[in-house]
Amino acid sequence: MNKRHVQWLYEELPGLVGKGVLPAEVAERIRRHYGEPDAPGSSAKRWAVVLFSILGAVLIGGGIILLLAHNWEELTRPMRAVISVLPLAVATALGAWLLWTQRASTAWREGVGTAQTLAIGASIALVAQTYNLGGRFDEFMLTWALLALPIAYLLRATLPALLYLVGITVWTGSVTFQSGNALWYFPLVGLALPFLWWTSRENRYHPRPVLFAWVLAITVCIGSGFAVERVCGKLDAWPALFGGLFALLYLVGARWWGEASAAWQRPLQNVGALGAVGLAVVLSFGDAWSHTQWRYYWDNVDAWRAGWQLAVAAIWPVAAIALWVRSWTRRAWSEVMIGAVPALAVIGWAAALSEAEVLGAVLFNLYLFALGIGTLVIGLRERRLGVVNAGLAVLAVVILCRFFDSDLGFVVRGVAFIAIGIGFLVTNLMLVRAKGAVQ
Amino acid sequence: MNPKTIFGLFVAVAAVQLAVPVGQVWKHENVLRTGTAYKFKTAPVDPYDPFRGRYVALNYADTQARLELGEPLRYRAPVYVMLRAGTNGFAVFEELRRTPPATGDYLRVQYGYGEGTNASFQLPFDRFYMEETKAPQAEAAYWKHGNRRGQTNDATYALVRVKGGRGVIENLYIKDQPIRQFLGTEPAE
Repeated sequence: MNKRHVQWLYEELPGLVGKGVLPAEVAERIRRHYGEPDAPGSSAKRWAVVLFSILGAVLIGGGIILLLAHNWEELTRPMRAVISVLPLAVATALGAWLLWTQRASTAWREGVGTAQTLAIGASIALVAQTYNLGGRFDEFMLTWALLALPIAYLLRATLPALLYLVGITVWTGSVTFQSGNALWYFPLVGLALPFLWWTSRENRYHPRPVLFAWVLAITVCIGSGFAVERVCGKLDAWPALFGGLFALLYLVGARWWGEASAAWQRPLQNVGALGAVGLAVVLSFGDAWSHTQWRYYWDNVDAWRAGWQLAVAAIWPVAAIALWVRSWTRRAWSEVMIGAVPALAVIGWAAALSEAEVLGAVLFNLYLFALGIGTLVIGLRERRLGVVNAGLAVLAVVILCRFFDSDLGFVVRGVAFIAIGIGFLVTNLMLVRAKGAVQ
Repeated sequence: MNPKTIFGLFVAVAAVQLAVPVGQVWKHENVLRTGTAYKFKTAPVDPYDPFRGRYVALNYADTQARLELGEPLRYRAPVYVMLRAGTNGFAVFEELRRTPPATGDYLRVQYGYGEGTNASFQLPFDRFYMEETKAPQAEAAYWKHGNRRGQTNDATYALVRVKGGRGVIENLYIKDQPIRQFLGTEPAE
């Protein structure tokens, strides 16, 4: 159970006992069941210790790298080789000592894990410097990331896992620009997923899995784009691909982090919803659909590779649509709304291939309007000011975009601006009054 | 998992982690100590790589050789260039092969383009690291003593040890002096 809920319950207990709603004995049993609540400030202090140990390791590690990068010419080559490997040897010894003495404190594990991760990259780079090795940046990043990942599992440290996610994304980008096969990105992401499952077993709202999921959601959006660049760039299937990815993030997040008490605890929903709405705005422009070149591409490139990438890209929309259908049966309306993007994108894409480019843009304009109104209605019904404003913001964006997109006159645009503004104010006023009456 | 298993796995992982840099040291130290020395004519520029301090980036003159006709190669494919010592120990590129030769000195290089008499390739040792303030000085000295193609110039070259297809730069020379020594004698501007 969420700590905030327990805290609320404990605050309520004396009142409930006092009013005779609960017998004192039952209240005591409830306290025993949930255990002692955290003393105020104790969890903040614990986090400060963990964060400071990570910051300390990062700064010391970074400082050592910079000092060594100076490339001291007074030192002989073998001496420099020894010094290059030394930081890694020291960090490894610390890690071994930690495991041997079975120190379980988060601060130790995160700090040493961070130091060891940095030391791996530093050692490889410094040896390359000592022997004037060329080497490619993507190879360096991949080696570093792969060597660092086991540290995340063995020391139960988050930072090596985060560095791994960033590292493989950088590798994917680099490989894509050198026209290599970046599809390896997906199995590489797969190697890090057990870490999420493992850290979220006890409490999935704990900062560790949540932070990992934030970085995962953001890097997957970037890395997938690189990895299936052929599909995005030449087939112009990117509406379906990214629509599927964003919707999938949102729908999986809603199932996995559905009971979060704070916005930061919903990493996948936040990234997914922002991405889906942003994509829908882009797709509401006619130009987004006017360059689809499917036939041109098929005629020119080896079909096996393109077909393989297309199959990979299809996984996102297909999975998202499958989850979306389940959302309908569960009557989870916010999921139904955000999850509609890939289905619409597939329809729009199919229409554009048969030279009916305008259909996609029309669909997404209607969709954004429905999404805005729908969000507004949910917000009003649940009396949540933030949701109401989000709905209004979507409406405002779609209307504003249409005015820049079309050739309507200045007067019409001006009136619309004023109307939207008044809409915001009046709705908020009504809500504030209604809230006041309730309280 | 029990703590002993975790510790065992950690030791195994640590061994792999340490083996990567130590293996690099061992391989390249071996080439430097036992490889054959060749001179490669250079033309440098100086970018900045934040991870590895400052270095002089090196380009080499005449990186072309004959490649027998066959299956078309993709860009950056690994090929092997045969080496012969020319006048004054400067390397001469004999021919490109698709498989490593059994005898003679050769380098593993990246294929560029072309076939027949003038296929181009890229040498792997393309940078020389120096103390951060010295790399720009080195570059300036190189420009001053000119190494642009078609000009008469003082010999500027990299001394490279070659063994088993691998080449490691031993030093960089201007006017037959090691670069660090040369910068010491050159009057500051």
